[in-house]
Amino acid sequence: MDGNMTVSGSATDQDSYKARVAEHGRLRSLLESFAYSGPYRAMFKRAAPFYAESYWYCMGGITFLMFVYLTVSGILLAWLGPFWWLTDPVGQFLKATHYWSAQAFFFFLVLHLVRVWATGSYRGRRWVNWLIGGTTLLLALGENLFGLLARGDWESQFVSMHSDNMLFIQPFFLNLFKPGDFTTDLAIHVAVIPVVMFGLILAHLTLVRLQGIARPL
Amino acid sequence: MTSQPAMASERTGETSGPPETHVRHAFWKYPLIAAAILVVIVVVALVAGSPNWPRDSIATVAKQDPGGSVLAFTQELDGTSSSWGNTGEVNSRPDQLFVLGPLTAYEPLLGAPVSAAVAMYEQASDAQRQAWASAYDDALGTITPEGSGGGMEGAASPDYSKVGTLTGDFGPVPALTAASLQLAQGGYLQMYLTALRPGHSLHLTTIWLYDEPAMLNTAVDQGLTDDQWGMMKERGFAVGPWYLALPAVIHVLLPGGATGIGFTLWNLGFALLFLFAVPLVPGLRGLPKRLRLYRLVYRYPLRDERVTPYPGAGEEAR
Ligand code: HEM
Repeated sequence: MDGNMTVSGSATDQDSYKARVAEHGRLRSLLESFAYSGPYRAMFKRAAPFYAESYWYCMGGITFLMFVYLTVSGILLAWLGPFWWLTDPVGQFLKATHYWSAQAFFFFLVLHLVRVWATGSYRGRRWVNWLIGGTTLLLALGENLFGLLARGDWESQFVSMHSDNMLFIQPFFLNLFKPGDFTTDLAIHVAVIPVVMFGLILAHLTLVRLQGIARPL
Repeated sequence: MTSQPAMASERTGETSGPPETHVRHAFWKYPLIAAAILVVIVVVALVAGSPNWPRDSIATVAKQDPGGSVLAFTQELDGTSSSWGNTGEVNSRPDQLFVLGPLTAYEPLLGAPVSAAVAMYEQASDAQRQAWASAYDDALGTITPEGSGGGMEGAASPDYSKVGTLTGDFGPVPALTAASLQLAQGGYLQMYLTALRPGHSLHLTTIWLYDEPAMLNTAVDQGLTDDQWGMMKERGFAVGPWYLALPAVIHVLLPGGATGIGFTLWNLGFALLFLFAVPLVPGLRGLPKRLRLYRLVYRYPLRDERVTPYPGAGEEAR
């Protein structure tokens, strides 16, 4: 398919603010202007299939947004330390937003999963992206466990020993994990799993870009 | 099964599928959704906060539950404490680490009788030590109320007021545990353990607290143990990790799921099904097409809505 199908000119002209205001009105054009600027232009490309213009198709993006917020708030929390996040009112508030955005992360992740599955969007080569997304989900569950252990409150104490006694003394874990050790838990939660998740999410989004949105069932 | 190529054309209306025409994407929704979600998160965080129950310390637990602490020290000596099941984390013998080491370190503070008890214990044969400690452990069992734990894992603490009345061939064990209790209640034991592993200072304290029955009993009271679906709960907080529902079901309901190996294998099995079987195995792969749930997901044109194709689009999608 070649471009320039309408009289109004090239795709670039179509993307101009003026053209968009003419098509969708001022408010919507203003709100979406970020998608036509800088880094996003390349990320989103320019158009999507009509059938994908539903909120269901925003769920992956919202999950990503939650991941970004978790990263930002997590870096701040780690920077200022457990004493701050457990006792200072501002620290407790930031910790609470970290907690609730993690809840939201999983909520939207489940919705994203439902939409990908219900539309059979894993067909063909997109299975690779299913694999990448699914691995990210499993890692996120592990990240959740180590976040709980790194919280530094009573629950961390209890769950660390409890999960340890059941899980991590198993021979196949080779004593790699010492959940009773706060320092290890914090390092895994802050510096190990999120880095791997970030790489996987980047690969996930790149593949979405390269492969495009799956065609309808 | 996809049939026609993606044509950037008007909807023909002959298929039941949604139009495949490329249009300008609904990017404008993102800032709105994002702002709305962030507002909700901030409000909920302000109103509800997040789970934050203060840590236990050895001193507070040993004061609240001296009987349980004596039991913990005894079991560290006779080899039946929880820490003995996990020497990979302890990295040393729990009897040395939690009882004999601290007592030796604080000898000047504790006085001659305690030094004598330590010396007597250390000079005895392994079999003799084991016999003393086991006898004391059994005797503590006789002053422990039955069934106060509740859940299948709950362990009750001996009645401390009756500890002094026990008689038997305990050797120096009662003296050792009494002195250890003194160290624990004064905060000395935690200080000792904290200093032992710089950089991992909370580690040994937590391990000792789990030898004490109080922590597990608290968990039972709060409904946090495995048989109480504790995996999906938080102490003193209504919302827990609901997304752990599947592992929780595995843990509570499936055969062998309560053991470490069983739990791991079940989880691995479900993960493999999810990653490989759902998208690849013929019968499963086609399920969404037959269920037709996608009709709730795709956008279909409203009545009389015109689908305006996006110029130049189509070459980038399949
Ligand atoms: C951190 C977790 C994840 C993030 C941030 C994420 C993000 C995204 C985004 C932004 C898209 C573009 C379309 C859309 O939003 O619906 C997408 C597509 C996709 N995702 Fe995810 N995703 C995640 C997890 C998953 C999981 C758990 C799976 C499945 C196991 C999955 C499978 C897919 C597939 C197959 C596509 C292509 C869909 C299509 O072509 O229509 N993703 N993902």
